[in-house]
Amino acid sequence: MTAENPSPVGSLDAHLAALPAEAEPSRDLWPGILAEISAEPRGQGASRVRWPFALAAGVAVAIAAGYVGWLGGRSAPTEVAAASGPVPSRSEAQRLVGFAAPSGTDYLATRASLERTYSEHLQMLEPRTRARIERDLDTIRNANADIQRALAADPQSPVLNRLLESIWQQEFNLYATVARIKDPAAQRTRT
Amino acid sequence: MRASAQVVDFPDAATRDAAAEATTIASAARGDRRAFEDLYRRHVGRVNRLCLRLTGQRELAEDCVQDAFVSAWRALPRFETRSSFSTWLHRIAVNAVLARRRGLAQSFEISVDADITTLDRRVNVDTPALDLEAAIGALPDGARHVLVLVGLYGFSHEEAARELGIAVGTSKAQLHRARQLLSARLGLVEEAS
Repeated sequence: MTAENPSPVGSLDAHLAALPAEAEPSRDLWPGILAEISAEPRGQGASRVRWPFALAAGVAVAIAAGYVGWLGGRSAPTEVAAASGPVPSRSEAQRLVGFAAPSGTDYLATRASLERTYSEHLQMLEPRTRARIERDLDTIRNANADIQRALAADPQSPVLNRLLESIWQQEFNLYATVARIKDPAAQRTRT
Repeated sequence: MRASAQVVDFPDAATRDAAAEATTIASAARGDRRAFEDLYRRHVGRVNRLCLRLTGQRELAEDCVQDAFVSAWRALPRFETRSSFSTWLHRIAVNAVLARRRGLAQSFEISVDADITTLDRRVNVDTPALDLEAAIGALPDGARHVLVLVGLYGFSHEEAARELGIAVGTSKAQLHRARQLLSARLGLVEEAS
């Protein structure tokens, strides 16, 4: 289509109408949204929530989500660490966390296996990367402890239970992401 | 006879979807975060596309999407189900973009933006829409905003003018300018208005 051979009148509208209506974001924005809306009381039961705990948990979820996306971008999905035993995919990890309680056999066994591989790979990463991972994991664990304490006072709180579920999932995803790096030492050369 | 006796007048799919969404909206308005997540999953693609077109920058657009959904959560108890949730959400997204623009205190002036072209290339290589999206991204701010709202999202000039804080006449002029620039860039003949 050129200026010398123009298209019919009104074709701009046709082109505009044919444009795609949707574009998925490059990352999942929900954890960040959840963190923000969880810090605000609204709806039934919300006034019972101990908000400082919920806020801390929300921050941890946001940190973990951003971190997982960052590190995940450094390893191809096919780079599965076969030598250390089966490592679940993210969807598998989410299935386990989503449908099994933390005391569930599946969850504990998979988590233990994953944690071993994670620890091995962590030691091979660049010190600065390792420090960041450990710092973020500490944040997640501290938030987890805060939520557990808050739940002891308000065990039926839907917000706290939802946050707890998110924390488990983020911790699991973080383990899985590090464990799935096939050659952690090679990550040291990347920027 | 038996076959006709078994015919039941079910609502069509669109009606069922609308009813299901109304239920989800009501739950979210009462504070159900899972319901709100459902709404997020259902609408995020459209809201992100709108923000991407208004800002021309992927990262900034995603920040605006996040702002928009947080604002929607706060405002949801006041949402009147007589209006379209999608339209309501789009207005919130426009406000989120404009708020970011004011807060950033910097020009949104973007040339042909790599983010948009990269994003679309991942979806469908060699699509004609790619050129048009890039051309829209290259429009001056004022023209792009009006084109996106009026030309793509069905806002009236009065609504667009109110959202953007401009006169109705300015909105009309900006749309005309946008169409001329796009037509020239794409080698199209602009229809007489």
